[in-house]
Amino acid sequence: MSVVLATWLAAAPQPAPDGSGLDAESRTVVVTATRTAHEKNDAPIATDVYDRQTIEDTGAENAMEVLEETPGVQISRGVGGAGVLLQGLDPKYTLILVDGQRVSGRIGGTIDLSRIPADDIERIEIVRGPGSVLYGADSLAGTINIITRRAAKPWEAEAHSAYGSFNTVDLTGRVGHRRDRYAGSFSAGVHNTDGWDADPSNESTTGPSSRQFEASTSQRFTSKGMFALDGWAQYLQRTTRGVDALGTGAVFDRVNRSETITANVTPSASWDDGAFRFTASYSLFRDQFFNDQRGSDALDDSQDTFDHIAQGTATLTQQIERHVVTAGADGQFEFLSANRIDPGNVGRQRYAVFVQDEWMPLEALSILPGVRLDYDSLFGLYPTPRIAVMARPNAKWRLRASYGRGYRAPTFREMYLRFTNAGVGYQVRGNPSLQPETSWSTHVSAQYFPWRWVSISVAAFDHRLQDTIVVDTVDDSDDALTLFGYDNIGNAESRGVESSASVQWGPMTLDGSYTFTHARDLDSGRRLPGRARHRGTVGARLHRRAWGTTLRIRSAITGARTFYVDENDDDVLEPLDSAPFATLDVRLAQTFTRYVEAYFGVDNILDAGNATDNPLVPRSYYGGITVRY
Amino acid sequence: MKRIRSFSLAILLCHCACAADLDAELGGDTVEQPAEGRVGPNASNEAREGGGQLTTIDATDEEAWVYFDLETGAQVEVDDPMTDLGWDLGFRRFHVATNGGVSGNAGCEVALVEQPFDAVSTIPTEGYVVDQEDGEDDNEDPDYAFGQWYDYDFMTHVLTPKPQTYVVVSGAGNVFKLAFEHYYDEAGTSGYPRFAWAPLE
Repeated sequence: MSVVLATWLAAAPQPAPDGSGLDAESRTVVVTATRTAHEKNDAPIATDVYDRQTIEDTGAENAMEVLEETPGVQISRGVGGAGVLLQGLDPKYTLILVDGQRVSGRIGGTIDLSRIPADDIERIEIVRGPGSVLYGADSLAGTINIITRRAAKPWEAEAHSAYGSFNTVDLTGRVGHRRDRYAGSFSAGVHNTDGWDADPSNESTTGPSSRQFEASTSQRFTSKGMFALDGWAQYLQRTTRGVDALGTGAVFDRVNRSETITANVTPSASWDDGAFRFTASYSLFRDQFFNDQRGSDALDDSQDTFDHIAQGTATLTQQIERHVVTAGADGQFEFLSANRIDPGNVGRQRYAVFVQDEWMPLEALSILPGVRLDYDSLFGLYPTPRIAVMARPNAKWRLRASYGRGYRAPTFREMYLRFTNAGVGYQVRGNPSLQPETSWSTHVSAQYFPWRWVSISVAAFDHRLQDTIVVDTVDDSDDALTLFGYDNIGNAESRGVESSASVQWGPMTLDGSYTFTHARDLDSGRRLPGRARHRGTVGARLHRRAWGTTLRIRSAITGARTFYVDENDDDVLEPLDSAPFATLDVRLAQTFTRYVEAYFGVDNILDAGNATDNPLVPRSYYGGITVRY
Repeated sequence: MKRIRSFSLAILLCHCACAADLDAELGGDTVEQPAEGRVGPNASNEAREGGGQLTTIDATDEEAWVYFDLETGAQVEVDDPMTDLGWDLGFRRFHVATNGGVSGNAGCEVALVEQPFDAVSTIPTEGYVVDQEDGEDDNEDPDYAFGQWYDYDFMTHVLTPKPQTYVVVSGAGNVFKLAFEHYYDEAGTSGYPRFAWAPLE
C-alpha cells in the first residue's frame, strides 16, 4: 500500500497527471499507464520513459530520433513519415498523445514523429499493451505520451545550433521563467535538411528535403491553495520535397506542406488525497500536397486536407482507504475535410466514461481493474476492460501481468476515400460499413534489481487482433486495372518476448536488449511484412562529471524482415527476406563552464540502409553547440 | 465463322496458286499509305524503323472510345459503333475493341501469333476470334478479341505489352499485323497505347 500511495500522494501536489510542471531533478515519475503518478519502477503497468536528460544525451532533434533505439520499437518510414511499430504491430495501432491528449494528422495510419521537435519534449512515456481502457480508440499495441516541457528554473534561456551532413541545420531557442505561482516558457526552432538519395541510378529521392519552423509556449499558474491552470500551445509548419519516379516513366516533383496547431489547457485542483483536472485540447493538422508531373500536367495532383480533433477530458482521482479510484469522462470531436474523400467533409463524435481502481489489498500487491465505455457516433458502443496486477515480493522484484481489450476505429479515409491514381493505375474506395478492429492482449513481465546498479527485465506479450481492416481487391472494376477497397476480414496475432538489462557502474552505464517478435496473419499464416523477428540493442554511456564529458555509443541490430513480392510474375506474392542490418551511432559531448556544451557525433557509422526496403538516413556527421542559462 | 472459312480458303488458294490477289478474294478496300503526324484529335502516326507504322492513341478518357481505321491509318469519328462499319479498332484506356462480335458489325477478326512483329510475314489460317460477351472472369467487360495484350505488375501497377503479334482482319477484309509496344506517353502518363502495324500480304 505504501509504495503506490506514497508515490501517488507525493505526486498529488502536482495534480497534472501528465506530469507537467514536475521538477527536472525529481525522480522519474510516469503517468500514462494509469492516469495517476507513479515512480517509474513502481507503476502497475510497466512504462519506459525518456526523461529530458536522456533526450539531450541522445542528441535527438525530434521524437523519432529519441525512440528509434528503444527496445521492442521499430521505426517504419513511409509516405506518412516516421511511425512506430510497437510489439510487431503497425503504427496505426499505437496511440500517440501529447500531454495525454489525442492529436490529429495520421497519414496512412502514421503520425509522423519526426515532426515533433525534441526541444519541446520534457519526457516521452511508452506503455506497451492496450491503453483503450483509459484513452479509447487506437491504443492496441500501446500508447506513447509526449509530455511537453515546462520552465524548471527561475530564469532559463537556451540556444542551440547544430549542423550536419546533407546540409542539416537545427536552430532552436528557448526562454523560461518560474517562480512560486507561475511558470512560463517560449521556444522556437528552425530545421532544415536537403534530403538524401540512396539510389542515384534513378530520379527518385529516398529522403525528402525538409524545412520546418515551429514556435510554442507553456504557461502555468497556481493558486495559493489547491488550484492550478496549465496550458501549452504550438504552431508548426513543415515543407518537404522529394522526387518520385514510377515504373511507367512518369516522374513527379512532390511537395508537402503540413501545418499543425496543437493547444491544450488544463485547470486542475488537488487536495490531500485526491485531484481533479479537466483538459481541453485542440489539434489541427493541415496538409497541402502537390504532385507535379514532369513533362506533362496530365497527372498533376493536389490535395488539401484539414483534420481537426477537439477533446475534453475530465478526470477525478480519489484515495479511499486502500483504493485509488480514477474516474473520468471524455468527449472527442473529429472533423476531416479533404478532396479525396466522399463526402468531402466528414465528422464524428465520441463520448466515453472510464473508471479504474488501484487497489492494494496487500502491501506487496496492486490490483488494477478498469473499464472504459466509448460511444462512437459512427459505430456505437465499445467497452474496453483491462485488469492488471503487480506484485512486489521484495524490493528486488516487480512482477506484472495484464489482460485487456483494445479497439481501433476505422479512419475517415478507410471509410470514405475515393482515390484514383491515374499515374500508377489503380483506384481505392473507402468502405462506409467498416467496423472497428478489436484486440485482446496479454502481458506478463518481471523486473529484477539484484543490486542498485543493475536492472534486468523480461516481458512476454500476446496480441490477438480480430476484424482487422485490410486492403483488398474488389471485383466490380470496370474502368481501372485494379480497384482496391477496405474490409474487416483480417485476423492477426503478434507475440514475443522483450528483455533488457542495464548496469550502472561509476560513470559508465551499459545497457542491452533483445526482442523476439512473431507477428503473423492468422488467415494466410504468413508473417506480417516488414517486421524483424529478432532485434537487439546495445549501448554504453560514459559520463565524467569532473571532466564535463559524455560519450554515448549506441547500436541496434535488426534481423531479417520478411516482405512479399511477385518474383516470377505469376501474380502470387512470394516471401522475401531482407538482409539483417546494424546501426551504430556515436556522440561525444563536452561542457565548457556550466553554460556551454559542444558535441560531435556520427550516426549510422556502418552506412546501413537502401532505397527499397530500408530507407535509413546514410552515415551522417553532425556537430553543434548548446548554451544554457 | 463463315468469314473465317472463306478467309482460310483464300489463304489456301494463295499458297497453291501463288498469284491469288488477297484483296480481290476478300473484296476489301484499298489500303492507303498512312499519313504521318496527327491523324485525328487522339491519334498520331510515325514511320517505324524496320517497316510499318507506329501509331499512338490518346485513350486517356475513362468514358469515350477513340476509333481507328486501318485502311486509312487515321482516327475516325463514330456516332454508333454498332452500325458504323468504318472503324476497325476502338481504344479506351487499356481496352481495345474491334468492329466485330459484340462490339460492331463490320466483321473484324483477330488472331494471336506468338512471334515478334517483324517475324510475322504470313497470314495464319486459323485462330481468329471476335469480341464476345463477358465470360466468367473478374470483370464485367466484354471479352475482347485482343484479350489481355499486356502483363500487369500488381506490385508496381505497371502495364507492359506482351511480346506478341496480332493479325487483324479489318472490316473491309484487309489483313494487318499489329503489336503493342507501350502504354505510356513520354511523360509516363498511362492511357496512351502505342502499336506497330503494317499490312500483311
